[in-house]
Amino acid sequence: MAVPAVEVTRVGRVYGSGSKAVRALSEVSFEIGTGQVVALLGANGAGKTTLTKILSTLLLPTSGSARVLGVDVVRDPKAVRRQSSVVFGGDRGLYPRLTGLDNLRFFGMLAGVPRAELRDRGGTLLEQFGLAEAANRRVETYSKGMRQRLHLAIGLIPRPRVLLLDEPTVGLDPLEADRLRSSVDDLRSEGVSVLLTSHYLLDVERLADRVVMLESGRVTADLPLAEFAGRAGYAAVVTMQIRGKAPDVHGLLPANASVDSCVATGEGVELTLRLRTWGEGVFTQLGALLDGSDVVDVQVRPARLEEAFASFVGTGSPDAPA
Amino acid sequence: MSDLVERGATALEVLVISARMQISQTLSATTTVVFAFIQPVVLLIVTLLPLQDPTPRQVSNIVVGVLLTAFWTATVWGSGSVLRHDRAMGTLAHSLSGVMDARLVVIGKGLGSSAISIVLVSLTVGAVMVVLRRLVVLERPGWLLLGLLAVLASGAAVGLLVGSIFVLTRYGPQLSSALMYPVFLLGGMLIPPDLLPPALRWVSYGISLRWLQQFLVGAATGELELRALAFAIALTLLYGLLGVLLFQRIVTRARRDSTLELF
Repeated sequence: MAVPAVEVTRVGRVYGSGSKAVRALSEVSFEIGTGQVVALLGANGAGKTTLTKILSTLLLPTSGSARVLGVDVVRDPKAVRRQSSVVFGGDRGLYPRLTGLDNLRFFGMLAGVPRAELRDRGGTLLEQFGLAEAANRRVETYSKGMRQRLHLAIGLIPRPRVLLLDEPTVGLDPLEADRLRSSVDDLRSEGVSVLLTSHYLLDVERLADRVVMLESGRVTADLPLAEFAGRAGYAAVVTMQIRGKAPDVHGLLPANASVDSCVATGEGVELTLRLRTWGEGVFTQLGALLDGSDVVDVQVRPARLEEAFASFVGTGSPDAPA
Repeated sequence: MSDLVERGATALEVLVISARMQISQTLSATTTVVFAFIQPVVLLIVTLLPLQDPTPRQVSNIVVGVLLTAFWTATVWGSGSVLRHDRAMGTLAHSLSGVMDARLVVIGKGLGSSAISIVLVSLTVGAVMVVLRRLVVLERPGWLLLGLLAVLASGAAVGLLVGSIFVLTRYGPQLSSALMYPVFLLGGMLIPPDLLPPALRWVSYGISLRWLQQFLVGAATGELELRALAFAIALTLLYGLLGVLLFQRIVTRARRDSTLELF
């Protein structure tokens, strides 16, 4: 049987002691298989960063065990570091007076990459992340996006088999974020296992195979992405712009639909329905509902991940997702 | 064997890059103007100008004392702040989650800080001596160079020790000031130890720079004081050992109690 890339077993972490003790993680268990991308989700203070710190050997668990490729993070942290990398979010964590290439080489050396390999791969990796032209410029001249891409290049220079990504797209513009997501997506085909912590649910939507949901330090869900999205409680939202009076929906509303809102607009109303399931006959049912109404526009969108997220954290408006 | 050589070469390169970074950092810091120019100039003028026909030994004593006093300031502000600075920049987490020993980075930066401090302060001292038309004898330049290398090593060791204490206690800025002046006054570099009250004289015996001063002055004036060099080296090794242990304690405590805000 193949060893999981990451194996977290009943991990607990308590900060402080006595009456001031704060339980950050409690009985957290999950696994990440080879080449899987698992998103770790949760509101602020749910314990995501604590778990990332434990897996990157920067913090000890107070109970349970965590293994990376079969190696215990407490007993043999160096062996764990040889096979994994952690990419910190934000624009800190780099030496601004060194060039991008020098940062890459320096942190590569700290990660134990042989110097010959650094020479061979440094330039290629910077090119892969669109930093070839800026390789010999000081990092203090880099934009936020460039720094973030450099972080990822540094994380990948030791050829890790497990990558811990903490908020990789924070502060990036949509184009930069998309570029970074593509780079992470490519890792899957190379067999790299990724634990992704992000408040940007678009990252999760685009990259993750599975979602592990943390709430107050406990795992409240460990589901494939599609199943997690389904937890929003409905499959799709239909928004209709109707000129004039709103139709009388009572009695005609499909059994699997509910009215989300009916708002007056300048010309008429905007009616929004939520459909628990989407299947054959939905359009026919909607047609019947709107028969006789002057429909200007109809928009259908699937349930968003953030709505599933909100249903898990138990609020109508998710805490953090943007 | 080749793996060992490769690791040794990588460790050396980490040291060199760390030193280079710290040199660049020191050259751009405003505090450098204080320790490398203002402080040595003022101290040299105050101590040398009133002397009528000083002996070569007196001049050497003052010059080396001023050099080491400025060096001490640089060590507390420079090498001692490396860990705090790296933590603030978020780079410490990278060092601590790497395969190579993170102490290499701190020691490399300490060496860089010490090297640039020695060079800058020596240039200032040299310029002042030219302006004041005072002659400094350099009887045994080889031994003098060895002494300066010992100063370099001592600065790096003190930097690791002091920097670890600063991070461990979380009172870095306060301790910087608390450490600076007692060593100025009691370290034997500006005030000869035999002029200090006997009850306080012992303090200087535990400071490597005091012994290095004795050795450097001897080397400059032709008297080889190897005993002083031996004391300085022993103290440097002791500082280094304590620094290594304290750094390990920081890492252990950070993993156990989450005392370092790494990311």
